[in-house]
Amino acid sequence: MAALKITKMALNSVLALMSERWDVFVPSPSPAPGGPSGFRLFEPRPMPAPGKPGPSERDSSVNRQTCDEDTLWNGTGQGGQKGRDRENHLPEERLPQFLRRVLTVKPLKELFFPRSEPILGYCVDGAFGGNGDGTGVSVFMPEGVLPGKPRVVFGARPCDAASLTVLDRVFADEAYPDDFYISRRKNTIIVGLGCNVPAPTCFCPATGGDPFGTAGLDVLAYDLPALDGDGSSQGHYLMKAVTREGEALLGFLSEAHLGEGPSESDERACMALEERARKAIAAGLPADTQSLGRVLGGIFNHPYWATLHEKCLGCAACTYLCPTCHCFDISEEPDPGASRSGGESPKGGPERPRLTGVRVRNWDSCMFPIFTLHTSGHNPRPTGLERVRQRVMHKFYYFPENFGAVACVGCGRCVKYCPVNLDIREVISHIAALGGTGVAESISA
Amino acid sequence: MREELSPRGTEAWQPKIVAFLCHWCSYAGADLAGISRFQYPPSIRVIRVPCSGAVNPFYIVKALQCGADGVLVSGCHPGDCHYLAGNYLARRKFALLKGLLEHVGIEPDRVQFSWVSAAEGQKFADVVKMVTDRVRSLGPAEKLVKRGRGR
Amino acid sequence: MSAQSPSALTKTLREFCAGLLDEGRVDVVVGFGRGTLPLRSTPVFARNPDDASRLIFDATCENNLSVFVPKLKDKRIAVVAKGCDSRWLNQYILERQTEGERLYVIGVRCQGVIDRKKLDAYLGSRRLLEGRLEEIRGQGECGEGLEGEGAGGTGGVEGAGGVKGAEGVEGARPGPGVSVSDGHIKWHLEGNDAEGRPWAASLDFEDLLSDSCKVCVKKGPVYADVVIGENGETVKGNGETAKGPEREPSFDDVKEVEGASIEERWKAFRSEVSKCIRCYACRQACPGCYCKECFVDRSAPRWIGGSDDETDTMVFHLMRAMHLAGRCVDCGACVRACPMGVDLGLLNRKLQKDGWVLFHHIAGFEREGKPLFGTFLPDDPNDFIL
Repeated sequence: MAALKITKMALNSVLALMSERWDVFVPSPSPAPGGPSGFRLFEPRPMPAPGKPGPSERDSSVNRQTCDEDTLWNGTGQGGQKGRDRENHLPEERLPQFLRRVLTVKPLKELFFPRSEPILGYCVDGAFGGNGDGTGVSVFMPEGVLPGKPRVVFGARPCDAASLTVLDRVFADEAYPDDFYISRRKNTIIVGLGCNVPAPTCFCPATGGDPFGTAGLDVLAYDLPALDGDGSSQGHYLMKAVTREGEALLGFLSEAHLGEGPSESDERACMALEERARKAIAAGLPADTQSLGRVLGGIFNHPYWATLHEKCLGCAACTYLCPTCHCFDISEEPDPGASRSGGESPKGGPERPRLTGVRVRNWDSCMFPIFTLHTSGHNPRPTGLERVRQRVMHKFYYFPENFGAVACVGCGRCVKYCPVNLDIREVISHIAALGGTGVAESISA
Repeated sequence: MREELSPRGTEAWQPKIVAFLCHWCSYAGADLAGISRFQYPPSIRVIRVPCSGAVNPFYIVKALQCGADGVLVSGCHPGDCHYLAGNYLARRKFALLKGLLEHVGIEPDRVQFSWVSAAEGQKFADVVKMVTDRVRSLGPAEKLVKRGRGR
Repeated sequence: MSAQSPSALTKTLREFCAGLLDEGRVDVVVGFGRGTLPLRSTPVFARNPDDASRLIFDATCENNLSVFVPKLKDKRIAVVAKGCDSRWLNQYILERQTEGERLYVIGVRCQGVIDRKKLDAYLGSRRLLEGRLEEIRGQGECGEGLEGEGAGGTGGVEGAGGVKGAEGVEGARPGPGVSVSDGHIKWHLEGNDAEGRPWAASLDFEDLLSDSCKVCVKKGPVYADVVIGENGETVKGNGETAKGPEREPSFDDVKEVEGASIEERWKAFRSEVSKCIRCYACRQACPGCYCKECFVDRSAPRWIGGSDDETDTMVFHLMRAMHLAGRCVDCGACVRACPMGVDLGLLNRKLQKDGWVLFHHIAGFEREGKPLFGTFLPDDPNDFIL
């Protein structure tokens, strides 16, 4: 099955059907305080009895969208009230509305390279003089680390999906394969959603991406708006398979009669969406990043860095929310109350203490001073200057040198969430301009 | 904090209370209680500190995270600090910390402060008894206790 | 944004700062400039008179600029300071982190600043292409966007909504002297929706206002060498620290939480903490977090683990707040910097309230003396002690 068209109202049924076979993840891109803001597990709801209006149909009557946005906003308890329990509950029925938001706050990488993951568990038996039957250290794989059930992600944006092709170069490298990453990558099918109307922070074309790019995707969905007389109040998703896995997924859905093949007019609508999006995003793009390395190679000591870093606060909002940033730190997490859950104690005697714990891999950020701090106390990147420079250099110079791709997909999260508006697009353009003026050459010469 | 004296949550359950005692007064008070054979529950684990003013609020929070069912900080009576003002300074910190912990939903009775002098062996026993009773009635600490992920 | 002509305040600010730099009275002016996104500002470091032309000041100037003072190597630093920024500059001097002589405080009267997360929450799937503050003179321009029928409405916007209706009609007070307190300034927003259709709305000033600004105790500078008013007038500061807050601090938000049961509070705390990704934007944005080595980064002893363990994150937030107890000036920079929408005010405000109620202490109004935890009174509250 190469393409399948479903109505938006059927999205819930489609996802519910998928959840029988896969763990289905969908974006929760609510920026509202209290709202989840990454990818979350889809929770299938019981289907309404036949004949009764289902929740999605009831909702669709008020789904003129500006109005809907406002009710959602008002419903969050914002606008004057400092509510403490501002839980922004996202009913599954509203998913099509939420999918229209451009991006989740947390990137897709979290599903493959979590913020924190145990990579090894250990247990030291008899470390405190047990009676000898269990001395030594045992090492095991902590439970629930590697995914069991295969997964489907529905609604990832093309930039997020493209970021996986960047991460693949690091974690699925032949010489140093990362089993944790690879196992998740292998058992996940990604259904992307093209960007009809890119956000003002989007700049994927400058990094080789596209609002409807298919890199990293198994299926690309098009959000087709409702047309008069097509019988849908909300429009359709037209899903096109990109890979064989994607084809199989669409085949599975089509066997359940959950959609139909696209018509020629649908194809034309897709083309029109693509064209419009490309035109919209073309305005205000920074310089192309693919050739930035040439300039960066010559400006390591340029005074530009001194002015650039000045406003940087040194937090990790940019790197943690970056879909391609992949630095991590490994630390030991001994269980503080380990003996409490410990092994059986001999009758009447005191419980035999055990030392257990896990080795954890956590996200780390080159923006932290401690990132490069040596045991000796020396820090090769002592100030913000070196750290900001590193971030830019890594993305646009070192990474392309090492892996043949720019480590940026133009999602714009760092632009949006930087607390001081240190806009990477501006940085890109400044650097490109430095190259244009020949500064790079003169310095490197 | 490693040994388990009796199963958690049962009648015989004895809470584990970390007691930060100032060297000059409360620790000596505890000593006196011992010498005088005043009975009090075996629930406290004493950590001797130079002064109640040396107790970083972090110690208290950290003790809770490490699984203490309660924390007691005890120092010299106001005006009697060996370092003149350590307990006065501590009092301000503790007042705010106690309020903060309660504000985020940690039972206020889990964190207690007292002034016990070196001559107040009986008072020390009474304080420990009172704190233990209050913590016992709350049951084992669940909130803020780090469980870890090993098995 | 660029189309908007600079306000009188901004014009004076530019001229004044250019003068300061030209005369060599300061080496750098730390101020705000126009950012790259609608309703967004960015810190600017002006070191020559020409740079001063980039300066602005309006309600998008959300950072606490005093955070840069300890990092700067320049000899004489001028800071464009809102009320809260000026309170932290005082606190720096009180905590001996800089000398008063090194600072030149350019006070600006602030009406409160934007909370971008509220804007995002409002926008939903709409894209914002333009935004500005607008003086509303006529009738009927009140936010159509706000009149949502309350499906699932919690009544959370009732206050704002009610006020808006009443004042929008009264309208028609012209002149540049109109201030926010008159309720006539609105956020004008334009963009397109998820289907590319143009869209526009105007929201009440209060709707996007940062929470801490709503309870601000002093919107003007506490100490300033010069104050630039809303209409561009400059008033030489008398160099004296203002006596105290303009109004009694109110802690209704804290009291609301205090009214909840212990289990409800725990649930709320957990829910806030669960959003945290430990990027430390709160710490970095806070002028008070100037420790050479933060306790979270220490490895000997290692105070808290680096994983996403819930209790570690809780301990981080509790201790971050405790480190700022009696020092936090409630500028809200941490809340605004947080990309995840963690309500750090939940902890900061409680400590402020207790500082006020128990010790009648409020940070940022003194340049001399001792911080809250550096001193005591013999009759400080003692009733919580067994």
